[in-house]
Amino acid sequence: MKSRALVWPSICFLWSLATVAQEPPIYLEESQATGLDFVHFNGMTGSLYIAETMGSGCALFDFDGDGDLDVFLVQGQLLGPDKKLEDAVFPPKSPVPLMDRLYRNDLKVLADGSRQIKFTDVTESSGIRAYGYGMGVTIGDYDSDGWLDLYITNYGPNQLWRNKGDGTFEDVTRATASDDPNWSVAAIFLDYNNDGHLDLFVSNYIQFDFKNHRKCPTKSGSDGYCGPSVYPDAPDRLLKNLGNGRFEDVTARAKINAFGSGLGVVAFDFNQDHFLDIYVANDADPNIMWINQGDGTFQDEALFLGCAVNAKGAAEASMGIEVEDYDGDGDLDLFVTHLSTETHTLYNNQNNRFFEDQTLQAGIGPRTRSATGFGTGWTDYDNDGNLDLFIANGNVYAIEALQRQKDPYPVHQPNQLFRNLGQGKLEEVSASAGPVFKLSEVSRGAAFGDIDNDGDADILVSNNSGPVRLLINQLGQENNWIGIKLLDTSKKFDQIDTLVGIGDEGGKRLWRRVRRTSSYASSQDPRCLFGLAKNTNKVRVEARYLDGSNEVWSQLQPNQYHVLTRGSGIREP
Amino acid sequence: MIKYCLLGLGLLTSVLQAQTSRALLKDVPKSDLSQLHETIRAGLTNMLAQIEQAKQDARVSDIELGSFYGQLALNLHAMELEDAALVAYENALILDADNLRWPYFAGFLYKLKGQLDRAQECYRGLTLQRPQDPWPLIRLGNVLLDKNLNDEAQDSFNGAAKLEPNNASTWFGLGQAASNKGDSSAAIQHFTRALELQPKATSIHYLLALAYRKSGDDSLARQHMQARGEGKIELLDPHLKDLNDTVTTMAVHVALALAADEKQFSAPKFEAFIVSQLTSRDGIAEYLVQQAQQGLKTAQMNAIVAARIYYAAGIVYEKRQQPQQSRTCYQLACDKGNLFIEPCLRYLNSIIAAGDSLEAIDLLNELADLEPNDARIRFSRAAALMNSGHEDNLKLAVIDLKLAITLNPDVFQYHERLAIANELLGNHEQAKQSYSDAVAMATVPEDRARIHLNLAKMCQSQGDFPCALQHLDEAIALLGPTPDLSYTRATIIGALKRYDEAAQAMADIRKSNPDHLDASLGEIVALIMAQSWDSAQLKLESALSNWPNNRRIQQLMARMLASSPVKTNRDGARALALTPAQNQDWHEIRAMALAESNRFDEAVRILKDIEEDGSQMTDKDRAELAILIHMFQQKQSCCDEYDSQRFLKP
Repeated sequence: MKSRALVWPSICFLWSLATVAQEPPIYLEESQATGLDFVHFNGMTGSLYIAETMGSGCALFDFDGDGDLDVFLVQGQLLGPDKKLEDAVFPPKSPVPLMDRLYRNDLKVLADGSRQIKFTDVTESSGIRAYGYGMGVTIGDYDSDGWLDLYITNYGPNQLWRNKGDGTFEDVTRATASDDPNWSVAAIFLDYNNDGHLDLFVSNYIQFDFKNHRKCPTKSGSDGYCGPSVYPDAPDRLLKNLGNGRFEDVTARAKINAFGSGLGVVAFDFNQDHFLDIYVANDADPNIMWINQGDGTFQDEALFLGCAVNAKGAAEASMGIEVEDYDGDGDLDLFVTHLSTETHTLYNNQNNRFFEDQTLQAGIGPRTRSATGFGTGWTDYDNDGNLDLFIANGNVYAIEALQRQKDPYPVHQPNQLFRNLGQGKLEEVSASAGPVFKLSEVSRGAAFGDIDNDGDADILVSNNSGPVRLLINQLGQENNWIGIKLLDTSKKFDQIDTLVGIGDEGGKRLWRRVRRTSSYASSQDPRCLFGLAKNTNKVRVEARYLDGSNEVWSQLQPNQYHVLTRGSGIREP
Repeated sequence: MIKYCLLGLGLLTSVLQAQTSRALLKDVPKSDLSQLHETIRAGLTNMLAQIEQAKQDARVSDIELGSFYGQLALNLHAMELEDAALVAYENALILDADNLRWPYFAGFLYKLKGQLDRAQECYRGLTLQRPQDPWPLIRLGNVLLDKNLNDEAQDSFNGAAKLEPNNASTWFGLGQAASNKGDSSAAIQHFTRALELQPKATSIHYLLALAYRKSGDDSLARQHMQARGEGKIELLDPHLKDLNDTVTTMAVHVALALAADEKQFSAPKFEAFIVSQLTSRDGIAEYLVQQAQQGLKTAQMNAIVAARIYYAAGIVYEKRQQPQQSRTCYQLACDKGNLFIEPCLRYLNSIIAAGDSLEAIDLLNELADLEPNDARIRFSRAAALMNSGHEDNLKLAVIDLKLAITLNPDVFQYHERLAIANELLGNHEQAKQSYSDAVAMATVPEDRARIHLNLAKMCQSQGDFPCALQHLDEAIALLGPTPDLSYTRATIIGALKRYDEAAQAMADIRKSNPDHLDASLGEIVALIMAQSWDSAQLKLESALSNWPNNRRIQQLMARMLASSPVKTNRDGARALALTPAQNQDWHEIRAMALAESNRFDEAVRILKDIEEDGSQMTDKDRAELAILIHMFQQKQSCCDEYDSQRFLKP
């Protein structure tokens, strides 16, 4: 008996190990295998410049119009006056010269239906020479020529690169008057005045330079990084697209006159008045919700709407933002990432009247307190119809346990994945999501999109002082899905800022947003992916446009992408 | 899971005793102490060594050893070496099970690190151990709130409320639990109670606003939103005293060590440390002053080190808005420190601000001789010279400021002050240039706005209204449209002869500020200037009903009734009723009112009196008066051909 009693638990233990080992990962990391050899260089030399901890973002966009997502990665530079490359704590790895990089996706669908992703660095031939100290990137077709352009935010002057449609880009920053000399982190193209031209909102961080650089003492008197509050805030800017290839700074005229330390930015029509509102995540300052007044001016109503500060009334160190209808109730909710010791905050939209902080109710409070989140996004990784949550983590202050191990950059943390259980509840599944979630890195940007066009969302993660990571979804294929690429009437542009829904009135409905900019300084795949779980029925799709009109397409086949053009469906009252 | 806190609460005491408690101790992780100040590093190393020694010494009781671990944990905790602190707390719990502090502080740290189950265990155990103490219940309630266990949190807070009904933290917690459960009515009740108990915790207004909004009362919600402040609820938790004291003691140790560092002392670094670590605790400044005094008295501290300590005390007092004490400390630091520049300048700036510039100039001269290339000294001396008001001193101030700018061209305040000095000297072009330089460098919106406003005022005084408007608009874009700024803007628009626009701008101000008398008058004058006589009269009627006793409005109304270019708007009798006969200021208007009432002879008599007494009148005025007298003598109406300028000219 005794010996059997000893053997039994051992078998159970081995069995449980085997079970764990056999569980397939949700994501596989395939950057190196697919040719993404980018390694971010943060230019730190031990001077503790705050800028070195903040970069950088990334983008997924189809720059060559071949139907697959290409990758743009934002690079850092050496920081500080009179510094030499040999002073860098972490020397640059690859590729050189140090500049932002464009990788073309040469995706192949093999005979058996499997996918072969291969990225080719085409920076050289693209003509993009972005040598700034990069922070983020946003995508939009500012000149309405049908080709996606790039706006790069920098610690230093920003750059607008016009896509010429032949695989090359030209720097039109000066010609378009779209530069901003401030330290910009995120930006977004949006048509705030509904004139058909994409305007530009630039979220600026703080007024830091090497002259006002400070080190902040720790409790023990040693030097540490300062937080943003020791520097003045940098004013955000609204640039109006004049439609003639130039932008005009209308910040003051638009009454954009309250600022914080701006990081993430998103635009959506919160109050459903058919004008886009702008939400800005501020680091350690209350967040701002610029409600578009419809007359070219804005008014900040974040405090009253309940999305400026958390449920305890505290302003948090807000970094990245995502806006989606995570609870399937038909309105758009806000999720904002924060510093460790704070929780990330889930502002639940209450029927477009106001927001309510439901972080604790969703079950993510304690689970997000231990890490500093930057990039983030709602993505239905298992195609069960519920939007799950990914958070790219990486601290900005030294972590004690890593310092104890003499780690040279003791701020890295693993990323996190939460599964949406429905009814507004989430549970962390990072431990079973694959080895990539065991990696501890200093993640910043995160972009979401179906890189291999197989019907499930993959994730691109940009790390500070580390390699880019490409998380290829391994699980979504187990369920059914439908993908929608919604184009405007000219068939040239994605119909951005539209809500796309599936399902019938009265039944369960899922809503996704056609969007590009969200997360942290990053740009996303605008296609809408819907997980259908085991449902193989034909699908009814509804588009709700910014102007209040809607359109319906019925009987769409699942498990494929559909390109829908505005005007080709049936308008419903 | 190991029941860390329960272990320490005596529930397993007998088992532990049987197994020898010391066998359960864990090694405290060897923290990276290299970044710590050497005083602190030596102290912690010493404590660790003592513990190792005590562990081997059978004469040291478990309770004593537990206390050693607890003290070590407190020190590690104070230095934010939290992983190590937690292990030390856990060891203290094992050995010194009846001591409240170790589970209490461990719970505090577990909560901070998001380990809520462990925090809950720590406080749950204490509630059993100390059933009459409300604080473990409050702490437990807060952990349960973080776990979204709102019913349990309510039980915990209710328990605390029974023990201590006037604790704001309890009601604040109850409010949060009710709010999380969607019970707005209870949340409003509890938050209101917490606010009554701690009126300075103005951040509670926000939570009240959310609760009112959820209950559907948007009006009260907005009221509380507006009342929202930064004041946090103060947890007046007596059990945290030891932890707070340790944090402060450690910080004071570091401050004293930094001050005594002869080789590497850096005033900016020292100041940064004092500001970030020592300004939030009561009694610190007094303690520092005491240390400096004692150090000097016992000769254990040289004068330079004592000066640095006084400087630190001055900074703490200044942050705590105790200007008199801070000034005294800076003065002592300046005296003892052999012209230690930072405190000297702070002392001098405070006496300049108090208006005693001459005394400051003497000492600033000394400092300037000592450090001729210190821009800050030049800047302060310029301020003192400008305060004295003499033109020669203004010129000297300009020289100092120019030198300061040469030495450090990037400080916007130097340019701004140079601009002010030049403006006072009448050098408007130079002033404009310096203001422009300053505004290009200033980063804080309030600073930029102030400079734009100065520029606007200067432009306005020079009659350059487009320039004034441009800078005023810049200021408004930065500060937002306050009624005063909007009014100034409207008057400048009027000065630019854009009368319709000015009238609209004044009307906009009145819309949001119905009591703004100047805006009301401004709108009327702008309408008159725009020759919109009917609208002006309507607005005057309305203004008169709002401010029936206001003399300026009465005068304008009387004038309008007596001499409006629109005949039908005139009413001589009503005009006469509004014009007192005896008041000389009203004579001309009264004359017009009399003429309008066909009492031309009386009108002529009044005008002739004015003419005879007209020593102050210009030839043009005299000529216009003569025409008026002539018209009245001919029994003609005065004003059919009036334009706005003539109408408004009294």
